[in-house]
Amino acid sequence: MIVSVLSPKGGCGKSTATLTLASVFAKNEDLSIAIVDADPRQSIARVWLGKRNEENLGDAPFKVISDPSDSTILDTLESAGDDHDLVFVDLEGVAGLMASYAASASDLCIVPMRPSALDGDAAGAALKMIRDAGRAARRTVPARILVTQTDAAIVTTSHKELLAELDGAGVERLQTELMRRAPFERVMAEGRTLFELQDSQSVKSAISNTARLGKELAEILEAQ
Amino acid sequence: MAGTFLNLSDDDQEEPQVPKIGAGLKRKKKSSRPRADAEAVAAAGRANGFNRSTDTAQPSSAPRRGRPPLNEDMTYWRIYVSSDLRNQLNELRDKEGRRLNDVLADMLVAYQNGKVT
Repeated sequence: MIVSVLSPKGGCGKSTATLTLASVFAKNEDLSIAIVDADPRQSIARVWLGKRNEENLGDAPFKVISDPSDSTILDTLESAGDDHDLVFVDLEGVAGLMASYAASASDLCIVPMRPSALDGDAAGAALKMIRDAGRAARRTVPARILVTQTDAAIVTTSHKELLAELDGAGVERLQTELMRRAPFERVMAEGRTLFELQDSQSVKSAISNTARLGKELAEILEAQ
Repeated sequence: MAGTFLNLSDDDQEEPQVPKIGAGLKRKKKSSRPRADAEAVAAAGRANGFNRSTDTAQPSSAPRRGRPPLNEDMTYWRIYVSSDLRNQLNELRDKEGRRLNDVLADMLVAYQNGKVT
């Protein structure tokens, strides 16, 4: 199955969500997991894996496939979908054709957004594009909003308003939010998975958060 | 209303539990859906403003002006020049399609060649 993580807005947590979800699913050794890094900046294939190699951390618990090209992405996704049980696609935070191609080939699209008006606008555009890309592919591509970088202690007014607006408009969202936690930033900076970070209470909290998100995602995918 | 604004649950104190999630995915048959028509998908993307391409920009004989084509290997650099020089550079760009980048590249090559000889 293919899950694309996309939004035309940068900095909303696409690569973090992709890496942490792939890591938590890879804890199940029975599953073959891959990430297709379709972001021309190659945040995962170049930066994260590069850091990992520098630190001699060994093989990642999932395969990382690099393809930042419009002309080959459909072939790459088809092949990755054939070879793995679950494929996450990390896309650039721009309004690119690549996102349309990835959406058309996906079993589910996750649209991360922070609780802000600008992210909301970008997420709305992404949802419309996913709907139309699905129509062009003659099928329905399900999509879920993932609210990211929320505060673990305080639910802000804009956060509350966002959830009310999403729910009022009937926009489907993942009930688990990806909270703002230092370990999520360290994952990218250190080239490690959450499970490889030095054990601490904040790492435990981040793992717990991601595990809940992964479980919810698994239930959605398994129900398809 | 207690707990509406403040999340006072003890979630953060829980031990992380990472069950083997996704076991059902292994049992799922891989769907063999037909490949989507790439042109139709691209058109759907463009209709929603998702139009940025990763394809390499093709050289064009038309005068180049404004921002460089996307994906051209360039970076943003702000410089100050006299307005007269700017007018001359703009004229060169409009007449011959040579941008400031091209002029600077020529200057650098000329400087380096002059240094060697």
